[in-house]
Amino acid sequence: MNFSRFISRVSAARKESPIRETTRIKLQNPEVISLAGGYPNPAMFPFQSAEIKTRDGLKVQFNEEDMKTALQYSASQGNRAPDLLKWVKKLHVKYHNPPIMKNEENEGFAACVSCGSQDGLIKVFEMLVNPGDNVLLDDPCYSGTLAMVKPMDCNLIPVTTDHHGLQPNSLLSVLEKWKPESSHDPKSDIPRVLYTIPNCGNPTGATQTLERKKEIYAIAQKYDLVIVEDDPYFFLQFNVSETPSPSYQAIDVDGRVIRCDSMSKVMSSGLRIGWISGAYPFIQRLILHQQASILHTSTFVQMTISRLLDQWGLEGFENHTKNVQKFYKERRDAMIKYATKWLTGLAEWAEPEGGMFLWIKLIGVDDTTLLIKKKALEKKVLLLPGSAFGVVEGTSSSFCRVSYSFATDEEMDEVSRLFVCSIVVKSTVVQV
Amino acid sequence: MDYKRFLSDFSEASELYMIRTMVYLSWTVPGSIELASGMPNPETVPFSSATFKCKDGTELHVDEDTMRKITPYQQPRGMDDLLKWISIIHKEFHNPPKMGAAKDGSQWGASVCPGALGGMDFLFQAILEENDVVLLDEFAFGGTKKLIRKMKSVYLGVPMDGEGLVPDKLGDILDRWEELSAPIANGRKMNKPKVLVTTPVGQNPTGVNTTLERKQEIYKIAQEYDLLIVEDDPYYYLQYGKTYIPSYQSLDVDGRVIRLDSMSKFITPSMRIGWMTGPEAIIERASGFMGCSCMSLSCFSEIATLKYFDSLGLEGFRNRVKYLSDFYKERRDMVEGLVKTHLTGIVSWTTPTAGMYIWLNLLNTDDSMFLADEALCRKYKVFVVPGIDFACDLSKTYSQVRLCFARTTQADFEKGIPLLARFITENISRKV
Repeated sequence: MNFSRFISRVSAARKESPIRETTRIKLQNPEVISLAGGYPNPAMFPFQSAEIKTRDGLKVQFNEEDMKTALQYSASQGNRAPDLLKWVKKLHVKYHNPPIMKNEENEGFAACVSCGSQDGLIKVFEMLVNPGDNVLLDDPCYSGTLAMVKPMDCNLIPVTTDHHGLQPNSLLSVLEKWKPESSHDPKSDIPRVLYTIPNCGNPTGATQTLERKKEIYAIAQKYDLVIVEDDPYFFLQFNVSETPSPSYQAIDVDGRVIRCDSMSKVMSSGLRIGWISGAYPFIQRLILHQQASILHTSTFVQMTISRLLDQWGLEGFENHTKNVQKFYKERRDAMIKYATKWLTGLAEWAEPEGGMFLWIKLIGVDDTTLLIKKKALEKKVLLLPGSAFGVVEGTSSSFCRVSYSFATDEEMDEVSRLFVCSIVVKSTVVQV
Repeated sequence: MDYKRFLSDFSEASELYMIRTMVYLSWTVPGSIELASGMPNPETVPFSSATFKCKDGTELHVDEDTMRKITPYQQPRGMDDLLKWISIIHKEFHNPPKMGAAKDGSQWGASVCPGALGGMDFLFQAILEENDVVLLDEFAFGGTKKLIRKMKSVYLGVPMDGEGLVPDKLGDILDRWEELSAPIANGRKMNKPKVLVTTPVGQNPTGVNTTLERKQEIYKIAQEYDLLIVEDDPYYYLQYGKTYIPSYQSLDVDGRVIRLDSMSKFITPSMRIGWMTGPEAIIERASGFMGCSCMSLSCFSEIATLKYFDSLGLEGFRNRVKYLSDFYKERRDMVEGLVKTHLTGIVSWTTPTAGMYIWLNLLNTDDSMFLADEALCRKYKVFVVPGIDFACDLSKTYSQVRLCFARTTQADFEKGIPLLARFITENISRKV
């Protein structure tokens, strides 16, 4: 892999901070007296200890020594003592067994903890994208991602998806414009980045099959693309008795996949904890960026997660994820039940295999935007129109996204009923 | 104030995306059922309650109800109760002229951010553009410089003396900015300076405080040239004197000061807690970037801070401020004593009256770089930071070094300062 071809000009200009350098030397040489780094005195920290209780009766405890570590500046890539990065590695071995873990350290597997995967993701884009670049994305695409990349002055190129996610033919036809050899030409504007939510996609709920992922990966190899695998719903796949669909990272022999993981759907979205992983030449750039930005994710929060994992072990974590899957599967089933009850004949949908969204197509409606933003809201129903997720702004969409994560059965029933009223009213108006 | 002049094109392009606008919309429609946002269900969060114990014996409890409320996604601006505290603190310490002012964009607003540095990152995205010339303290924290470079802007250092930034020099730079920025412009057409970034208390690295008279003169210059002042003030609560030097925010009749506050030296650095305050037109944009990145602060960091403030009350807050300043003053006395004993005749210095740094000027040399020589550092086993690490103008050499006296023990200082004396005297004529 020629990693340097993917690094943006801004990212390439980033250098290690000398103060961070001295921190590293100091850590290696405890007898050195450092008057260098501006660390506040731990005697000043008001918190002495902490205890967090879990629903299954465990306690995550921080004694005085722990608290001193938890409350001090720590390394940008992730806290080292206790070691969240150690747990990240274990999780990746278990769930992805990345081929690049076998590589030499300078091109091997590395990870950087971030404040939620979104914090990591925006930095991944900043690392990869120069103004004027062509960037390939799932279409429809998570609107949070679109909000991130739109100001970066690049061309957003949609790749069509269906109920199994990205369509390889669509990717090929988009790339037809360029010869694969153009990836060796620094002056070419050939796309270098493909962004995708491969599992329980947002907004469509689609999960790419392994066959699709292999096809897409082969195309990425042919055209030398980086795949940004944004996978916050990985642990929300409903095949409770089987293993989840393998990730792009699991088939990444070249080191071209940068993976974004999130604890938002599995632990807590308010905690802001996630991580980015991939080949070291990419992750190293992210670490430098964190040094010039938030510095590091809250040490206390990192330690909370790693200590919880210490007590759970991989088995306990797996049990927890299975409970989460069961929970959302049950919510999905309820949503399908009420959608079927009220919307049969008016709408169609594919049953999601995971995640928290139902992607509903309204039959005979070219664009749901006005319907959702006005008529549905008048009925006090809030959904999202498909147009919010179009890579190309202003594209009309017959779809709307319904989130089933939060609503009670009664609310789902009521929403579906009210939504039907708003659709029917609109149809009447149109006929007149 | 015309804020459009200050808001970058980048920030113009980044609007609130539809999920957010829809959710905010739903808050204005009472009784609405919201299935728009992908909010994970609190039932799946493993944490049920938490307790933080303080060193003075106080216990801060997060009960189950509160845990359910804080563990989902939070609003980027911060928890309402924490924002209330920020208002109270600012009314007490700064009484900003624009607090409660007419809502024309200049009214005082607030948003939390992940440390002051994290806030600076989002703030610069809102107000800096490619080819901007930023005015900066002539010696400045490396993180600030990196963030300016990230925005593809440059910085010009404004000279300081024992009373802070020198107003005449600032005026001179503003009159001759094109000529002065030509050497670093690399042929680009640069934009007229619009932003001054300064650390006016316990300045990092010089330890200097900008006096009130100087602040008033500089504010007048800012009015004359229509500049924004970014008041990066993490050592504000570490002033040793009985009365505080009023901040730029306390003088801000126009709404041109954006203040960055940090809890890193007040509570703890690791939780990444800070906030930015100033004209709402700018705060809103900066907070918007945070919303696309880390989204919010970690809920544990926010709730711990909030409950800590609740337990202190304003009286307790004032007491803590006194406690901190006494603590750091004592350390300054200890270190300055040792510097007097071992380094008189070798260095000169000004006694710091705030913060945690002492800025030593090596006599008999114009270049302190040898103190960063790795082999020599390992030999003498004492680390300081050579002044050039902070300098804006890298074309010169500097005779200063920065020592931090926050954390190192008295015993280590008693060993380290004489070692430093030897390090300097035995190598002072060495060319690096």
